[in-house]
Amino acid sequence: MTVAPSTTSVLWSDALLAAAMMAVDPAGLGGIHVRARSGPVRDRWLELAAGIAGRDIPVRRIAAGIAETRLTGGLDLGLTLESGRPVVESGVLAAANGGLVVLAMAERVEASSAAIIGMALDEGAVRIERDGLSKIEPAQFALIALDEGIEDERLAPVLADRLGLRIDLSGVTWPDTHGIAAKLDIGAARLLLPSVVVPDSLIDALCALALSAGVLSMRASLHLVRAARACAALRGVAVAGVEDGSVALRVVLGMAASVPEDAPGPADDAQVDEAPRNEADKEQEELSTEALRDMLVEAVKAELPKHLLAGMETGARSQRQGVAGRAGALRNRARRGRAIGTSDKPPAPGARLDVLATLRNAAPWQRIRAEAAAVGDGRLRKLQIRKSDFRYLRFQEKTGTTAIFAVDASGSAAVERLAETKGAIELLLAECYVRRDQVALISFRGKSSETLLEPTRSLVRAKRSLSALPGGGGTPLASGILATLALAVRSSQKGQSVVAVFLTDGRGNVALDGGTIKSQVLGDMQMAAKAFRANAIRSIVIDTAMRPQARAEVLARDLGAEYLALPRGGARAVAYEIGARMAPP
Amino acid sequence: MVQNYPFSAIVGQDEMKRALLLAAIDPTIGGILVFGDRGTGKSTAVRGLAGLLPQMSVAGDCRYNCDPADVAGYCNRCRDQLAAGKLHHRQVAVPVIDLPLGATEDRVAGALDLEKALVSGEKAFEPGLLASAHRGFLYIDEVNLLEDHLVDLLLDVAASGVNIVEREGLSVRHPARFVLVGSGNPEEGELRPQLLDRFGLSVNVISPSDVPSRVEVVKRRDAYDRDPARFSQSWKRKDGALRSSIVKARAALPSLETPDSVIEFASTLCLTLGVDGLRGELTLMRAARARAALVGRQQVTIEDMRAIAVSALRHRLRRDPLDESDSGTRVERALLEIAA
Repeated sequence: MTVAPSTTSVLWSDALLAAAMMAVDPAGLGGIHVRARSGPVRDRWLELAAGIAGRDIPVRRIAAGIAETRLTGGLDLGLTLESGRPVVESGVLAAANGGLVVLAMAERVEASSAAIIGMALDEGAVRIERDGLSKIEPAQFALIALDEGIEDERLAPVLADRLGLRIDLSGVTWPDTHGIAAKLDIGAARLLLPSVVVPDSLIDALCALALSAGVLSMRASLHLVRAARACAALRGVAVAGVEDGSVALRVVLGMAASVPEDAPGPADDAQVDEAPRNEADKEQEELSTEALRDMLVEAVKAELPKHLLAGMETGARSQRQGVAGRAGALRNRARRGRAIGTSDKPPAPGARLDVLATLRNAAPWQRIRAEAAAVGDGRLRKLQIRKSDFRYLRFQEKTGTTAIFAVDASGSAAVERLAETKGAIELLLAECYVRRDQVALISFRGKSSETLLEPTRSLVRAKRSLSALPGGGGTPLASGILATLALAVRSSQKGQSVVAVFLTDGRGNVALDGGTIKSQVLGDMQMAAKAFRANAIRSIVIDTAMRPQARAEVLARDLGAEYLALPRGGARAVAYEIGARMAPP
Repeated sequence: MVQNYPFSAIVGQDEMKRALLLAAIDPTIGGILVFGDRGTGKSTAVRGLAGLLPQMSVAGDCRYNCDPADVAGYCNRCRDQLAAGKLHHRQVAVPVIDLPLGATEDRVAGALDLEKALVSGEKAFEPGLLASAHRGFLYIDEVNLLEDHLVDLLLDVAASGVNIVEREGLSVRHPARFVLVGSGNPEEGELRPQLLDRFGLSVNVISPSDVPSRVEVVKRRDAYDRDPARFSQSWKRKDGALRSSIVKARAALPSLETPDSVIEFASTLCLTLGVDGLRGELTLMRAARARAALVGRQQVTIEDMRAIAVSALRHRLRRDPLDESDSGTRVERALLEIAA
C-alpha cells in the first residue's frame, strides 16, 4: 500500500526516521523526546521504534515517580540477607545498558530524578553512592521520553536539552501509521557512521540556522550535526548533504524549536535576513555557506507542515482556559515525602522498616549472637536480628508552599496593581528560597485568564516572565477563579501545599463564554466560587479597590477565603502578608 | 574510565577556566560555583581539570589521602605504619570526586563498613566521598538540586575542614579539606545563601552567541567524539603548558609581593558594594595573588584585582529583588566608579 504524502504522513515517516537515527547513533543523539497523548498511534510508534533499535536489546520502562534507588541501584536486600554480605542490585539505568529506557509521563519527572538520568546520559554510566555502596556501572542507553504534557507542563529541561531528537505524534492519525516505511538497514548504517563526513559548510549552516532560530543550547547544534551524519549513514552515502541537513533540522529543531516563551520569535524571513551579519569576517566562504543555508531553509519549508512552521516562528503556546475538571483525581498519592533519617521507635503506626539501618545495627552483634544461638535453640541462621535492632524510616512530607497569585488586570488601575504584584512576587521569591516555596501568577482580564508564570522557585525565571505584563479590559473573574483552581489542584498533586491569593476588587463583569450578560456573569461566578470552595484551598482575597467595598468581602466568603483590605498596600505589604501565611504552621 | 575532553580544548568560557585554574593554584581561595546555561561545558571543564593537575604525594595507600608533609596530621593507620617503618610515599593524581545526586549521607560522610560487619563482625569505618576528596576537588553537578541535609553536612565540613562521624557506634574524625566545585542552572532554583557564601569564586557561563565560536565548539566536540585518543593527543602540548604554569605559579605564590595600594583597593571595593564580612576581601586578595602568579608576575597589581573582582564578589552582594541589574554588572559598575 502506498500512501500519497500528506502532511501528517510526513510526520509519521519522520518519527520512524528519528527512531532509526537513534538506533544508528544512540550515544551521540541521546534519545527521542516524544510529544503525544497515550494511544494506539504512540503505542505503534513505540513498538516499531523498539523493533528498529534491535530485537534483542534490553528495554526498560519506567514512570516519572520512580524512586532514586531504583534509578541508580542500591543494596539488594534479599540477596544481602541471604548471603550475609552486601550485594549490589543494579538500577534500571544500568539494567538498560546497551538498550533503551522508556520514560512514561516524562513531564512529571522530578528535577532530581531528571538530573540523575541526565548525568547517566552524559557519562554512559551511573554512579552508585548509597546504602554504603560505591560503584560505577555502565549504563549506555538511549532515552525515549514520553511527554504527555498539556498546556504548560513540559519535560524537565535537563532532559529536553540532552535528547537530540524530538517528534510530535499528536497530529498523526491512525491510518497514517499504516503507510509502508522505507526499509532501513540499521546495521550497515552503524558500520558506515564513523566514516561519514559532514562538510564544514554544512556544519556552519546548521549552527547559524540553529542560532537564528533562537536555539541557544550548544547541545542542539551538536545534535544537528550528529543527526545529519546518522541520516547520511542511513542513506548509505559517505558525505552528508543538504538533504541530511534538512532532515536534521526537522527532527532536532523543526518540530520543537524550543524558543523560550518570551524570546522574540524570529519570523522565517527574518532568519535568512538576519543571520549574515554574524559572518562579515568570513568573506570567502560566505557565498557557499549562505547558499547552503538558503537551500536548507527551503528544503525544510517544503517538508514542514504549515502549522508546525507557524509554531516555530512565534513560539506561541495555546492559551486555553483552565478548566477545573480534574479535582476528582486528587488524593491518590497523599503519602509522599523524603526519607530524612531513621528512628528506633516507629514514628507512626505502620511505619516502614529501614532494612539497611536495621542490618547495620545488628551487624556488630552477629558473632556473639551466633555463639549464643548455637548454645541455645541450636538453630543456625545466617543473620541474627533482634527486635531491638529495628530502625524505622522517618519521612518528611514536602513542606513547600506554592503561592498562586490571581491578579485582576482589568481596567485602568491594572498597571499599578500588576507592578505591585510583580514586586511582591520577587520579594517573596528572594526571601523564601531557603524553604522550598514557589510562586505562580495568573492574570485575568479582557475575556479570559492566562497563566503568566508557572510555579517556580527561580527568581531568574520569574523576572523573565514578569517583565511585560499587559493590563486593561473587562474582568473575567469566574475564569480567573477556575484557572487558579486548576493550577492549585495540579500543585497539590505534586505534593505542594497551596495558598491562593486573589488581588481584585471583586467586580466581575465578563462571563466564562466572554459575554457580559449580567445574570450569566453572576451565575458563572457563583459556580466557579463553589467549585473552588469545595476543594478547600487555603486562599486570601486582597481587596484592591480604593475604597474597600462589600463586593470583595462577599467573594472572599464565597471562596472560603480570608479577606484583607490593602488599598494602597504596595509590594512590601503584600509580600509581608503572604509570606506570613506561607511559613509552615 | 574514558579519555576526558582536554581542558585546553574548551572554546571560550575564559572566566570559568580561569577560576578553576586559580583554585588549582591556591585551594584556599575556596570553592568554585559555575552557574549558567546548559551545554556550556561546565562538567567537561571540571573533568578536564582532573587531567591537568600535577600529581600529589600521598602517604602509603592511605584512604584519607594523608599528606607526607604533615606527619602530625596522619591518621591512625598511617601512624602505625610509620612507626613500623612500612610507610612509603606515592605520587597519585589529585582526586576530583563526583558527588552524584541521589548519594546518601552514609556514602558522603562515611559509615560502618557493612561487609566487614556482616561477615566478620568487625566494626570498621568505611570512609566516604569526603575522605576521598581530601586535598582535591569535590564536584557536585546540579548543586541546587542537592538535598538539604547533604548541603548542611557539606557546609559544616567545608567550614571546619574536618569530617566528624558519630553513628552506629562509630566515632571517627578525619581531615576533609577540598575545593568544592558546584555547577547548575539557575532555572532549577536558587542556592541557599549559606552555601553560596562558601564558594570563593562564582562564574556565570552563557552559550556563545556568535556563529564562528559555536561552529568551533561543534567541530572540536565532533572530532573528540570520533577519536578521543587522537584528539587528546593533539591537545596534549597545550594541556602540558597549562600544567607547568600551575606548577610555576604555586612555587611563586609564597614570595609574591602585595603592595598596600592593592589591599586598599580591595577594601574600597567591598565598601562601595556593601559586601559584609572579611571573606570577600580575603578571596579578592587570594584570587588576585593567584592570578599574578599565573601570569608570572612578582607583584600583585590592581589590574589583577580588577580581573577577578566580578568572580569573587558577584555572589556576595546583598540582593535587592527590585533591582533589575545582574549582580555582576553591579560589581563592574563599582569598579568603574573607583577608577573615576
